[in-house]
Amino acid sequence: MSFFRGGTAMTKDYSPEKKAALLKAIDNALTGMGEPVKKTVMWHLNDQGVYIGCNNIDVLRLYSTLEQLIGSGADVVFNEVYSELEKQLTPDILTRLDSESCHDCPLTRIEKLLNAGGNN
Amino acid sequence: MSSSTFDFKKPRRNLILAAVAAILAVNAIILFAPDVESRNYYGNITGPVTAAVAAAFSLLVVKRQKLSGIFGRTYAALAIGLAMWFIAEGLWTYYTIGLQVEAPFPSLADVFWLAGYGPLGYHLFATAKFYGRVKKHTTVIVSVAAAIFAAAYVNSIIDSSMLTGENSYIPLAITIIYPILDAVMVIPVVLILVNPVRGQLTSIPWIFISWIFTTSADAMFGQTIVANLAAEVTIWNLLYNAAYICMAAGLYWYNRYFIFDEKKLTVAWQRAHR
Repeated sequence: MSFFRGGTAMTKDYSPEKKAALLKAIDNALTGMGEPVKKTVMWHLNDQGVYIGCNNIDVLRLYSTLEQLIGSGADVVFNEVYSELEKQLTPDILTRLDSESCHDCPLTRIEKLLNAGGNN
Repeated sequence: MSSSTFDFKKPRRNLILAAVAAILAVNAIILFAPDVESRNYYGNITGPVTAAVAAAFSLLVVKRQKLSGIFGRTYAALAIGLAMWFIAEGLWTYYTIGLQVEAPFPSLADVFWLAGYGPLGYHLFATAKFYGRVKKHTTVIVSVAAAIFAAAYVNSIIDSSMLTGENSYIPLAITIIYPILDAVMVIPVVLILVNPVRGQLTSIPWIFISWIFTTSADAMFGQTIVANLAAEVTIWNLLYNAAYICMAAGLYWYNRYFIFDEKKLTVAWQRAHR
């Protein structure tokens, strides 16, 4: 089963706040696996051309590469990313997303969260 | 998408071959022994040896990984569980070879075996939660199937039990506890094994296949205990050895490919980009 249904590569030029929130969320989610495992995963991501920390991170590609490396664990990491983003983004966006997004895959929810309220 | 520097297929294939060769070699010692006594003797030696190998790999993982994050905690639990089972195997061997008596049932070894289910269960369920992208109805079906299997097995144990007398309740109860715990453990194992998305870096499904061997061995062992055939039928020793070797193989993979080792990764990268 793939979670790419209807997804688009998330390389849009989001506002600096959203970019910072996304990078922080990804970093925290990967840290949740444990530091040595995070380092390994980061090394392999870089090896495959996925750079976390760069300005325009492609979340879709990050997800697919992560899934290639740790299988279904990518969903857990992305659920964590979504939870972290939820904490950091404004409550009015969350209110609008809550009713429609609770059954979506983590990647779609993250995309909706980042697109909510405009890109900038 | 750029391809990975690493070719995981070759080392995975080599590890499968090495694990199968190790299982065959260790079990050949038991299978080619001349009589039942010798098979029991070698079985009682290979059990703690293979358990020690698995426990040693798990301790190496904890030493390198420490306790941070979900993997730090789950693999520490795995190490505690394997250490307990190693002690249990050692105690069993001490009874049978050291003291040269038939191991009592239940014995102190059973305390360690049963206690080991706690941390091992934590590892299994936490890992399955991380890797298990499984639909709810699959979980329900697997759980119901495991419950039916456990009920049928417990029923057959009680029916075929030769344990009689006032003191037979505790051995019978303990014989029943094992398959119930195994049935609980089998649920995450099956859920992980039916999930096809596993990932190049992960030690899936090694550790989970190990549980299939353990559960099968426990089922056979329980039947031989209640039928008073434990001294004559020792096929379960082969399965326990296979279980520990599979566990060791999974932990080797985890240690080699999942825990960061800058030196090894740099060497691999340099080789790939020569």
